[in-house]
Amino acid sequence: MRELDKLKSEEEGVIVELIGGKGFISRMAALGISKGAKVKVLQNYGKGPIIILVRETRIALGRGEAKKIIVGDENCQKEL
Amino acid sequence: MSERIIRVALIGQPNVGKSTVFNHLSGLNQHVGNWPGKTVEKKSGFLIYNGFRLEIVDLPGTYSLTSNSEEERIAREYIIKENPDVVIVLLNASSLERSLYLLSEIILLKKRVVVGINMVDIAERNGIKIDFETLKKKLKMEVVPLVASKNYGLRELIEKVIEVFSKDYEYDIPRIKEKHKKEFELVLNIVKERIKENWDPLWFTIKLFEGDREVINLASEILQEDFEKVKEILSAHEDAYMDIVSSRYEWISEVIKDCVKNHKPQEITLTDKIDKYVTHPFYGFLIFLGVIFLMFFLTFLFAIPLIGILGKFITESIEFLKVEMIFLPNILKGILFDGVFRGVGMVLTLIPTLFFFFLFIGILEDFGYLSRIAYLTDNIMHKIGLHGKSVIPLFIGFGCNVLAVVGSRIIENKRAKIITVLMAPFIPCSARLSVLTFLVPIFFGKVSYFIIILFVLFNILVSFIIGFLLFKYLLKGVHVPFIMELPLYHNPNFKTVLLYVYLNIKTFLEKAFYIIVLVSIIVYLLSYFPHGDIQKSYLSKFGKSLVSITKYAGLDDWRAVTALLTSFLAKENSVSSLSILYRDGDEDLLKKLSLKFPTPSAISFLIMQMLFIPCLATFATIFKELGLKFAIFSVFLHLTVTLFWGIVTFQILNLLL
Repeated sequence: MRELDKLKSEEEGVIVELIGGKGFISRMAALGISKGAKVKVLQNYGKGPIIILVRETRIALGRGEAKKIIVGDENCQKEL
Repeated sequence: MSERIIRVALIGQPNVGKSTVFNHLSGLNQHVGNWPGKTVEKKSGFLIYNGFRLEIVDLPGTYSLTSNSEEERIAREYIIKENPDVVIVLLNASSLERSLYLLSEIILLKKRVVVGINMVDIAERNGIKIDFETLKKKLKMEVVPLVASKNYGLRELIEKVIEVFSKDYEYDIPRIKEKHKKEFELVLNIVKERIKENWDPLWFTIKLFEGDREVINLASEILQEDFEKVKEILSAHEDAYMDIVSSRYEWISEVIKDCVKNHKPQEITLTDKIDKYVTHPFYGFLIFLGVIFLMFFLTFLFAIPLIGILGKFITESIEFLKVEMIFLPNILKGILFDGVFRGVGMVLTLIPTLFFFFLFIGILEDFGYLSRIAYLTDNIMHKIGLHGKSVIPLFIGFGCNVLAVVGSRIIENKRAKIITVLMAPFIPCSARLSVLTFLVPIFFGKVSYFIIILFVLFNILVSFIIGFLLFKYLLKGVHVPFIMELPLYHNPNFKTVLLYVYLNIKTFLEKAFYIIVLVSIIVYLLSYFPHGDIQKSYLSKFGKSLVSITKYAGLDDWRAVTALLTSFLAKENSVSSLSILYRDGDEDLLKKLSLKFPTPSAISFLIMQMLFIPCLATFATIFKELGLKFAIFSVFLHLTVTLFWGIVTFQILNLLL
């Protein structure tokens, strides 16, 4: 399991956990970023915000926010 | 004949093409205002169809209905309290799963719903096939496929609204998971006993578990002595919240299971291909600079000849009228020609610049480019404690600072919004640019274009220095989260873009027109009284009293100082004031100015003109957005900055030249 900002461009995973208050989690959920969702990193240049693809939506995400999203590999989806 | 009225609310997540749908439905029968007591724009309109009058309110674009933002509170308060007859929920065909999240919240509010699925053409191009019939059965709602930009499906949407209006309805709602069912029922029963008005107990309970601040505050009043008990249950089951969220997505996946097929899941879309370059940290930046350059270049390429033609037309009309009305007394002639007509002419000559700027920004926005700018600049903006979203209002500031201040509403964080609003008036708006393009050629002749670009860059630099200083010393704060959807690129829709231009110019004119005309009259009167001689007028006295300070910045002529002062009321005033103040018979203003200003003073004057306090309309908007304290602060900030740079520039240039 890794923080989302550690994934390289083109890497995929499943969201396992969101770390943050209810405000943060509900904002993320409304944008499709919730537990169990598949996520693909479209762009990660190692600094600055990253771009992810989740539930057919492209979302630009600050690194600070990306750190709060924990991602596992495909198998995690079955366990959730 | 009187029509039956249906009150319709239109809601959708951002980037579903909601404004295109709204514009097609209500055309020019629309009214733009503010939500009462709020700084969020409210659009409403109507359309008449088959004996029905649909009164449509365009609710703010929101991702969900939790009270995380003002937009969300407004949208849900409207649906709950105003009780519209039908709610149109717009979904994006390309990201149905995500956009159904909003619908999963709306059905809890128990209103009649018609679902519009927009941009089905783009989805199909990307291999997404939606079975609308099955979707309709599963949702038990009317579902209408739309391509709003091509006016496809909108008639059916209207017909379905009318059909649903007089029908009974019952929708399936997301179920609460077993794990927390017991606690949920407990709270629900307490709520049921106490609740009144329009609030729905089930919705209310769900929002309590979600930790919705507004609902919790409300609960503390309504539930009275039971509130403590409820609070206990809630804090013991913090994790219930995650269950509510996932139950919504489970409901969604159940709904779309057999209705949505993606035929090309692995294919790289056009958007991703474009983004490879457009959002690249290096090429993306080059493209961004290119876009800005092109915007300025094309705006002035098209606007300047038009301004010339318009200006000539206005001067000739005034000359013509002057001859016709020779019989009028001098003072009336002055008010009419030097006040009213000059003011009107001023406003008219601004329109070409505004038109092309907004055309450009409108196209870029509709294409989906503005959000990419936010992404690209996020890194730089972090250095002044902001994130990329702030660049969007600042960018709009090139068109009009008023609209930049209004546009800063997209920034969720209060502190970041304040910094952005205070930075915005330093971005040279089209009014200031038109003054600049008018004055620079007088002083610099052939190298004007180059000089103009330098002035613009200087202003942007100052804006960022201000942002940095505010962040470092005054508005220190915590990290600002950056989360932003990057919509799929699509061809800009002609009608949407033109309407964007039209509405923006209209807003500008409504705010500026009377002020500019009024100021022109006042300036004329102040320059006329008490003796009918400008040299001894009230205006000259005030200007002269300021010269003792401004002379250090090279402004030792009270007329230049006065022209600067009048630009507070509207930036473009400085030219009209200059031409009134330097009036001497019918002699040409152009020739005279360059003789009056030695180069260091001219540059210092132009810099001060570019940095001077925000115009009255911007000031009023800052007041509305942030309150009087910040509006006044903004004025002082500008005065200080203006004098500082004026003096620095003049003193340095004096040493060098």
